[in-house]
Amino acid sequence: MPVRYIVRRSLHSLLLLLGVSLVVFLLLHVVPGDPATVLLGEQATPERVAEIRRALGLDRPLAEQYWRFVSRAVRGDFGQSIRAMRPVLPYVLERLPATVELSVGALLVSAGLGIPLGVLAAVRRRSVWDRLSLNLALLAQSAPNFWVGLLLIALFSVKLGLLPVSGRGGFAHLVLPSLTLAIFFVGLVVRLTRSGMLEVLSQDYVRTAWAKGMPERRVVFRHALKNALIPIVTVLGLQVGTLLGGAVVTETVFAWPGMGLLAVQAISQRDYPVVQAIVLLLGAAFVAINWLVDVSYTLLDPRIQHA
Amino acid sequence: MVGLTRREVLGLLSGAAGAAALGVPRRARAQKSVETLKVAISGDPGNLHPWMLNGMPMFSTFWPTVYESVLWHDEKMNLVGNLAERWEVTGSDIKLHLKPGVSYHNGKPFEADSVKYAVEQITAPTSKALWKSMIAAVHKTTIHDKHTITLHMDKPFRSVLMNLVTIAMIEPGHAQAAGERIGVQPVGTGPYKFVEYVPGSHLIVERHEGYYGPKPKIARIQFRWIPENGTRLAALESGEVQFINNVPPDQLARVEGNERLKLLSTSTARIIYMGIRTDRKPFDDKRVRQAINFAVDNEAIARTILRGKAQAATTPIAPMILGGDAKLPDYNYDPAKARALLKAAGAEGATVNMGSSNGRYIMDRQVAEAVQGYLQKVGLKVNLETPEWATYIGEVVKGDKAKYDMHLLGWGVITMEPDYQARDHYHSANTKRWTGYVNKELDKAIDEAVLIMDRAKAREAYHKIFATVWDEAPWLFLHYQPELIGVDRRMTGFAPLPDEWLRFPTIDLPA
Repeated sequence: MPVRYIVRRSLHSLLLLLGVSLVVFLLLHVVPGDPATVLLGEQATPERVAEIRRALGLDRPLAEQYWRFVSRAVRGDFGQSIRAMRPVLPYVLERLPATVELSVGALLVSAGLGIPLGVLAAVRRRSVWDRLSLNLALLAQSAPNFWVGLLLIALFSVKLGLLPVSGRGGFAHLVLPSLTLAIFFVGLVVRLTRSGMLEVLSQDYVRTAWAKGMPERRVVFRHALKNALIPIVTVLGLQVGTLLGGAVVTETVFAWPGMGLLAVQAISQRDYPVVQAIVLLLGAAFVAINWLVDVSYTLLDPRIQHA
Repeated sequence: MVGLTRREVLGLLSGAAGAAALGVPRRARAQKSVETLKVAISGDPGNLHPWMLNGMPMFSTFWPTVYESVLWHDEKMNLVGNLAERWEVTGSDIKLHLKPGVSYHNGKPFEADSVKYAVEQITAPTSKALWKSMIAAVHKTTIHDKHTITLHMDKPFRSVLMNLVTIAMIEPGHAQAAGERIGVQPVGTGPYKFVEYVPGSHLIVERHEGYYGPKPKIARIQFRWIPENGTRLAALESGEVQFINNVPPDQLARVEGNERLKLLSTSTARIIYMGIRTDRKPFDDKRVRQAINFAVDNEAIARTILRGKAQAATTPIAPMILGGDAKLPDYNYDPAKARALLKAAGAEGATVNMGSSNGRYIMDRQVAEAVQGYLQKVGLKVNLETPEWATYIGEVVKGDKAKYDMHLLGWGVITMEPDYQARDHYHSANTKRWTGYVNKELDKAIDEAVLIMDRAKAREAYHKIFATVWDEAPWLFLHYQPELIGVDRRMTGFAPLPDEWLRFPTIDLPA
């Protein structure tokens, strides 16, 4: 195990997270709109806004506010939600299981549909299966996912009455949101798998395997796919971070109580502590997953050396 | 009966009773209600604290289900007793006689100390309560006995009496013990008690069997938050829920055309308008502001964009509010007159920077676009922006430094008290952040009118105030926002009312 690489990679990740915290803090304070004004809404008088800003500590210098945020965050204290008036960390973490559930569901759909279709397209190159897979992939990547979601609801929930419209519950509740979130990634995975497989299938060792009379199944799955998986694992790993943070539209359409929906609401309400916490937590998840992906390279292909 | 044993007589009587029961017509037997009413609301309150939340319809999920106020509105929007049976106003004092025998869901009695606690917490200097201004004039309370309390003010502000509908009663012991968790563990006196709240997902309340008043027919209500209009409608169509709010006007047919559903609507006490910065040229000229009102066909907007469900504004304040029934000259659609007024004011071809919210009020962006079109037809150059709410309201309240010459907003007088609008929007102490309108005579009239307790006299005073406002036109008066509710057709016991509170406890829905 390359220890020096892991240590260096870990320090790099921490610096990255600090940078993320600073950027999100500054962005929140630079964009127009103020939490006290949003809280008071149409009843926002200058006096009441000033009172509430004082009560929330928003009248302090930015550097002081940032230092307070970071020094508390390292201890797991992200302050109190301005809107919910509750400690932020448990408030946000309550929503994490829903987002993880949706992301895992979408990931399984992306891989479960995308990889087989990609393999089929590559192995039956230039056949009707190849063209069908590529066209489906293109359609999947082009369709806006809120439109897909509403369409799926109209068909499977309202017209056919087979699946619930919204909310989180058992497996039935997960089907449509997972499909909606996965749709773009299915297309991506099909194309990646196809191109990865085509490249590997043209390698000398694969030709040798064919020449030796090895069964097609063994050549494709044991030799070719295993090597083609490296870029696919990379992309899927990156997509997990995107899925975690990018489920906003899907969560809104399906009223799925995840962090994406909470993030959107918190941004509209300028609930600074909640936004900062979500961005940092998702950032940490993203960084951690990328770290895992890098390490898993070594397991998949021992030839990959880390400088 | 001679010759029959006791057993035989009892048997005969039972048989007769059974036969009679079988023969009773079906409708005479009590119909069973659904066990759980499922409701989808467009917005998640985030917290269930009635003093710290600002906004309909989120309030209605826990108030008046879990929480109640001392005073309330009946279906005609008259002020009536609720937790207070009756009240007396003497000079600057409001004496409340509280209902005896009322207890909170945790068994603690509701008494005068609850009212004292609420008033003190809300009006404290460090209070973050969003409703503070409603009762800020109360400087002291006196408890006479367990069920009598007086609120003392410096002057007899009628508005404070009316505003008591916005002060919900929280059990003081529980509030102190729960601290910040009061927002997720509400304890009130209402006909329903709290069961579970999962932010972002749902709120469940169940019938409070110890409630002092008429018990709800439905045992449980499950509120879910579905922000997306299409999804909320789909949930109603599929039967997943039986009640939704905010049916978009452009999708009414999905409810009205569905034989399982029905649309319930009313005009509310919320006026939709565009404030005009009267402190910048050429809008400082009354003729320009009146021209704007003549140039825009608010009846056509109400008829088309709001699908006939809104009422075009005929007064500056909704008609059901005290003084809102003033008979005022019509700003009928007259582009020729508008052009003439603009010409007389030397404002032909003037540029108007206009802002509107986008999704805050029903069809707000579309209404603003229509206004833009109407003003362009009379030769004005209109630049319209529709940013998201936080950015928008942040810009609007910059006041004289705001970039918008005209801004679209809604003002909901949920207290049915005209001072709430007159003071905030037409009194120069407060108009800086909205229109910059200054009229010292009007200020005096507003200051005097709020002290008139006699409703008939107050009505006359507000007629004069609103007549002035109408003529001076610091606003483009658009329409009163409708409340559009989609429900299961079999639902009874519910009607939307102008104060925008959704009264769930009276609902019945057969199983």
